[in-house]
Amino acid sequence: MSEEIKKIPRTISRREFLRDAGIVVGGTAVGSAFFLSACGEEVEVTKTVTTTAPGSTVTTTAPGATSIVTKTAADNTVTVTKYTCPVDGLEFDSLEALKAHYDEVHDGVASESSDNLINLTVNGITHQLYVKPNHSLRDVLRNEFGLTSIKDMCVGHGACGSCSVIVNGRPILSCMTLAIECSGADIQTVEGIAAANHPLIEAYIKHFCMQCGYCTPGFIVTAKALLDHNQNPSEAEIRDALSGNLCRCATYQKHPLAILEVAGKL
Amino acid sequence: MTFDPAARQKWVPPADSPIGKRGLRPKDGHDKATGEAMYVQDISLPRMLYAKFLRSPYSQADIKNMDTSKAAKLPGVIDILRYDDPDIKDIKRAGSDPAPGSYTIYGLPGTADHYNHPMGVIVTAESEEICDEALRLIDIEWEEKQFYVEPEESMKSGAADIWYNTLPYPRPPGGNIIRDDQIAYGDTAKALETSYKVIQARIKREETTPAGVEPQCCVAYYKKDGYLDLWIKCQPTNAATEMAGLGLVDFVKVTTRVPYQGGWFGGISWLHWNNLFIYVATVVAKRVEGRPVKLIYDESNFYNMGDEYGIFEFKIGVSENGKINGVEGTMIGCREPMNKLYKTSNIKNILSKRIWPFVNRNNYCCFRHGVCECTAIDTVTNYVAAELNMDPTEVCLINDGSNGDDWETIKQWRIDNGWQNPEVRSMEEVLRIGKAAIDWDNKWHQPGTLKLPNGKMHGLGFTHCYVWHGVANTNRGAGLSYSGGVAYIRGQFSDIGVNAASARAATVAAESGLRYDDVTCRHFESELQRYAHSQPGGSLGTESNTPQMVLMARELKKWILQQAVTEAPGRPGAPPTPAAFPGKKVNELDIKDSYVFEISNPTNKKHINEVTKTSTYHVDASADLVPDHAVPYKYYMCKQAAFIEVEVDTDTGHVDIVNTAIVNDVGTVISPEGVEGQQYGGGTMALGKSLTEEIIRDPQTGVALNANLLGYGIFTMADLDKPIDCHQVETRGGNNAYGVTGIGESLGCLLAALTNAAIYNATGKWVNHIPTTPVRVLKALGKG
Amino acid sequence: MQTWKQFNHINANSITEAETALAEKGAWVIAGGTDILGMMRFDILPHDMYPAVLVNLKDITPSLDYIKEENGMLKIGALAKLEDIAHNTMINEKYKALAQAAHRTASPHIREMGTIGGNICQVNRCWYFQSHENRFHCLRKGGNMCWALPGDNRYHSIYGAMDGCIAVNPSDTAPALIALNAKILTNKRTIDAVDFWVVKIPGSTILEKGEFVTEIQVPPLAVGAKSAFTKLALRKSIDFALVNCAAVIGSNNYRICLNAVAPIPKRVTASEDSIKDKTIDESSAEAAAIAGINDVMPMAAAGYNPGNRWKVSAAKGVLKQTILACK
Repeated sequence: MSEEIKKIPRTISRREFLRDAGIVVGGTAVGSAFFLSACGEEVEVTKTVTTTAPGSTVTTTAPGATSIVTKTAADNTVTVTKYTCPVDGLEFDSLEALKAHYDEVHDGVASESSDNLINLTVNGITHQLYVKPNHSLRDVLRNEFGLTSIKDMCVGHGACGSCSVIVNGRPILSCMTLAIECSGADIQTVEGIAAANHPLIEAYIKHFCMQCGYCTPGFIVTAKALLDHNQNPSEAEIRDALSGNLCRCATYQKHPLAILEVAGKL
Repeated sequence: MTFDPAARQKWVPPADSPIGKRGLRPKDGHDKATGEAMYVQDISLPRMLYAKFLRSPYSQADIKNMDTSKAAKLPGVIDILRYDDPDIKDIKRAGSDPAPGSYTIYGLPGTADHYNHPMGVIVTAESEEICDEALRLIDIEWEEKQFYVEPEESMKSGAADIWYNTLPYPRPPGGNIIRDDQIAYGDTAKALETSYKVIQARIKREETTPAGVEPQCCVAYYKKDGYLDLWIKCQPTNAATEMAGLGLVDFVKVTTRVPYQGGWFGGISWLHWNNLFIYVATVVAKRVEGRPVKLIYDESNFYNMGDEYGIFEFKIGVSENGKINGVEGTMIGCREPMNKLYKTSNIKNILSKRIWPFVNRNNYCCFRHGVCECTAIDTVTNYVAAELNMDPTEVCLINDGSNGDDWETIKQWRIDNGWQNPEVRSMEEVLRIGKAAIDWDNKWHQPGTLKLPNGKMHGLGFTHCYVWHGVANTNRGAGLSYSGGVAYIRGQFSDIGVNAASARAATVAAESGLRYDDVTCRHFESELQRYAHSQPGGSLGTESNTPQMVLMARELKKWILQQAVTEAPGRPGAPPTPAAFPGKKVNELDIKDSYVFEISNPTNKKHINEVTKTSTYHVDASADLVPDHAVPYKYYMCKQAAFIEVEVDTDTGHVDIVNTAIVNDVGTVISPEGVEGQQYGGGTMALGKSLTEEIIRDPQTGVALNANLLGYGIFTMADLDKPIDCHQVETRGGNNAYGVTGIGESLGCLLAALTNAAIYNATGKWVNHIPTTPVRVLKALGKG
Repeated sequence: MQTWKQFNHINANSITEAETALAEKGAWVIAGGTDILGMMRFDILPHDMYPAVLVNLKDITPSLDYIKEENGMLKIGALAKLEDIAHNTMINEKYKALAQAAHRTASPHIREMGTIGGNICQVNRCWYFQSHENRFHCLRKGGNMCWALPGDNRYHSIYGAMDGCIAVNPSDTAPALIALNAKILTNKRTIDAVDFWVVKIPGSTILEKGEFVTEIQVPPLAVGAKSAFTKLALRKSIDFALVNCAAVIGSNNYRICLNAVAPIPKRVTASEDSIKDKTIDESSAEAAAIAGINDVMPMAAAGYNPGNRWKVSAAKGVLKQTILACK
């Protein structure tokens, strides 16, 4: 009798999990919601081999996850795989039976999505962190990094620009971006821009470009992205680049003055 | 510290001082530009919980049954507060009467009276995501009821009774009418009867909202010993006072903090709902005692504050020369529409009527009462001009005055009462400057007569009003503390972006002699709201807060000068410290740029630190020293005007605003950039209301179809072809310190119907339905 | 702000992997994300249509975000960003209508995220369809009525209903691609642009399950032909079109297409016939524009619904401006 406990760490991806488990990544198995729900969770697979006589069965179960097939050291061991529903724990003899049950009883929709490890370089420093698929980049930057400059004005309609950050050089809306798609990205927020003493900060203050100030970080981020690509923008180009940033206080006519000053044209 | 209110008007700002000086660094600039500024949305405390409301899918419906059991079982849900829970069911806020008029609203009712009404239940949980999930698990059986979103439907005889909320005052009998009242000046019926002509006009405004930018939220932390910490988003900061009055909290145990506020423009309905929101947050916090709670209402800016939709009808009695003898103006909506016309003109006969039916739209009254009233002035002025074939700026001047008196009468009164610049006529100055700025004399033409080479029709629009002043609450206090060469203005106010801190610092610096950089304004906290500035700035704030700043700063100066000539007693056994200016008298000294100097020998100067050393000073300008302004002003003589130039595409109905000029007589300019910010800021907001902004509702269900920043068109940077040309006039004609007025709200209202007049000048057709979107322009041109 | 309900997510590394993943029930493509994430955040679809899995195409290698010319043909990968298309020198010089259309789409930030593939596949913006939490369970979501027909339809189709639906197609690049006679390549087939858009539940294209756009091909314009794009919107940035139009005119090339006027883009052959072989000027453009609106069926005003007869005049104005811009 031998016992083998195999711990699958959190960091493993869906693909790696299935590969290690020896399950062939077949067409219909890939992308199934309940497989995905197993991945990345800390899955402790405890397998107890009780007999090695032909016909004997070994059951391996993983809490909250589907079972995996494990090969044992013994030659004449028969292993049988049970498939466990991650929602209600019922066991099935085949993957097809489990899927049918899941589709019927749990509407076929993912009940719990999994954590994924990503790398983000934020204002020059690279971090590793876990995110779920439904975490926006905005929420991650605010909640994990405390970068409260990233605002919410349009409650997620993608209409205001106050959540703007620079990702790989582009000014984008962090509330409409999934953190899980940003692994490897280089991200700049106004905190980093200010820490680096970018001349835009002083120019914005000098030219009274803010009133309530809520939109200001989004504008500065967008203006910086513009200047990074175009050191010599015309006023028309400035207005075009900033036309996605809403300001209810309507400070609009001051921003080109600040940006033109930084561009050396005032 | 006492003073004669009338004497305040005669104060003159010190020459060569920060008052009126350009280029001073805004006090809030660093925080806002670096992202360091914290807003209530950004407050995050250890173990903080989140709370969110259910929002009604119906315009009018009762909850018949609500099953929250599944939600309660969801891991991470800490509390579920139902509308019928004793903790919340009687929490309400009564509206105020008579000025704007508003009705009582409940914190968490069981009946929805508009789409997306936050009601029914509040879930408190470990995260926002869990709140959202829990709300989805709540099963509700609704009883849908009759609703009306159009005022004309609600008013019809035989209409169903859709409104059953209480009012703090008697409700008119019959139907859904909240108010049916009027204000009468003179004898309007007679004036109309005896006029050369009676001009009729009708204009409709659609529902707009302030669309303020930071979603409403409140952090409330109710601790086990009954101490409550609040972080609030609200213009007045007195929620604790109100809650104490209701017995919800013990006033001395509440600390209210007011972080920076995102787009939190004044407005009466905001104050009403926002204070109620804080009560609700406090109730929730008490239930989860010991853990902070952040109560969030995501789409508050579209659903719980509305604006002045309504239908306006005017009957204007005129003489042949453009003199208006009398106006009867009726608004079907929340406001009597003619009061500001009375305040800004010599028209003696005005009947201002309001019929306000309840409709299933946002809980509000009027956000900016001024929008209604500026619409009235705009329409009346331009209709008279059109019907009599006159230049509207001429019509304005002929009828210029205040409170029914004409300029000559007012001028004499100003002379008799020692007014500053008594013979300077504000409206004349304002018109002269504005017309030059827009090149009116060369460009104005008869309606519908100028087609441009690009095929579009050219038009100019003009409107006017007085700059709001005279409704100041000067009964809120402020304090000034001095230590180590720095003066700290103490007073809590909500920084909504009107540059109040800078303006106040400039005033204190000017009157005390300190450098602007040596005066700072600390406004986020206040002990027990002793110093709660009523207005943060803006429309009335400069007027109402300047007196305190002046008085306190003068006291500070007196104290510093006294220190300069007084020997300071030594410690026991030690010799006294000699005065910085031994042998001199106080009246031989002055202070400039934080140096005390001898007037007859200015090179004899010492820095205030050397003079005051380690001494500190505190002065108070609180309620008992600064009487509430209860005396109505005799006249409102500081005026404003706005001009726009448009090009109208008669195929597409699109209106390009190619030039805008705004002129404001603010009495005295304290911060030029601050005033300008309100001019172009308020002006842009108002133009948005005139041209693109409206809430559109589905006629079948009353559901708001475009109530979000994607569907509701506030102006972008691209929407004005050119920057707004802002001009400031200083006649010192206000009724308060330095003759100052306020600025802010007045701009947000002044241009709110101006595209209507401009399109009329361009095409010869009145759209008369605001906003003047392409749909309506084309309809007016017979193509829609 | 509103959080998303949970879903699963796959970063596809190859087209094959994407296809496999998409075959699953509830699997949707995510490209730029600006369309689908808004749709999911506000739960506008019925519960059983909420995506179970998002299949991210942005990590596919070789990347699908190229813009290149090959054998004289413009080839744009489906994942090419709208902002890159808008500022691409070659597209501005040779395929101006497409650059202008891309440039007038949405806002600069959305153009930095949004892809041309996503833009042509986006769902409609009818405010009943887009209502939060599926407040109006309409025909395009499997329901049995159109709410716009008896409701407020001021921004809806002036060409009547298609399959009972009067929502308009909102894309700015779509009419440009039709005017430019583009082809749309998917992982399964090649489709002429003019055939790409249909009325589906809830989609707007003929793409089948497991199928996604991989490339757009635009043939060169004939020498001497010009192209242009015009957009009318409430504001000059961010907003979807009230009416838009793209045209290619000259050297026997006459393709003019309106959009935001019908459930699918509307090629106006009557305008093409009218302007054919004429010198473009104020009067010929006016005549061609008027010809282009000869078969409209606008919605009548009813009660507080203003209807959309106004949009007929607006379409004529936009047609005329676009034709004149091809001078």
